[in-house]
Amino acid sequence: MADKEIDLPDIDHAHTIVQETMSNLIDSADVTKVYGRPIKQGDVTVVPASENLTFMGFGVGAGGGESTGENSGVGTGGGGGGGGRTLSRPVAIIIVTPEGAYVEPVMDPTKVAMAAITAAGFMFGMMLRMVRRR
Amino acid sequence: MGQTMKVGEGEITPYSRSTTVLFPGVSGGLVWNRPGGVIVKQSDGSEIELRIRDATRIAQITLLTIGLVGGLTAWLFLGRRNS
Repeated sequence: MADKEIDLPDIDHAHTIVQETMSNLIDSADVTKVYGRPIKQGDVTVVPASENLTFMGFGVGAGGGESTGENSGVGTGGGGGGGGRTLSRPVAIIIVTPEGAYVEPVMDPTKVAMAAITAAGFMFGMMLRMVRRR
Repeated sequence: MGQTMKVGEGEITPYSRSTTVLFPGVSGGLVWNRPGGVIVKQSDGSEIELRIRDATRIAQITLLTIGLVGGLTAWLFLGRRNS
C-alpha cells in the first residue's frame, strides 16, 4: 500500500448549501405560513388558514481510492443529492363581520371519500375472509 | 402568535401550531405548520378564543377508526363463531 495521501474533492461548499437549506426549512415553522393575507369586502374580512407540511432530505459524500496494480492510479469522486416536497391544504376560513368573528371549516370531499373507501374496503375484506372460511 | 389585525372596531390575533422534526444522522427533516385558532378582541375589551378544527382530518380519522374497529370486530366475532 502506498502512503500517498489522496486529495478528496472539496465538499464544504455543498455542506454549506445543505445547512443553509436546512436553516430555511426550520425558519419555515412560522405563523405567517399558515394564515393568508386578510381579504376585505365591504364590512366583511376573510382570513384563509391552511396547513403546510414540508419535508426534505439531503446527502453529500466524497471518496477516493488508489490502485497499486499494473495500471496503478488514484481516483476520487464526490456527489450529492436531495429532495423534498411541500404539501398545503386549506383548513378553515376566519370570517370577521361587524357582528362578530367565526370560523368556517373547509372540508376536502376527495380526502374524506378516499378514507371512506379505505375503511369500507378493509371491513369488506375482513368479512369476505370470514365468509370464505366457512 | 401571529400579527394582530385590526378588523372593524376589534382586533384578531391568529396563532398556529408547529412541529419540527430533524432526522438524526442525516441532513433532513420536516416542518408541519397548522392553524391553532384566533383570539378575537372585541370593541368592549373582552376576548374570545376561536379554535380552528381540521374538519377533513377529523372525518378521515373517524372513518378510518370505524373501518378498523368494524373489521376487527367482524374478525373477532365471526372468526370465533367459525372456529
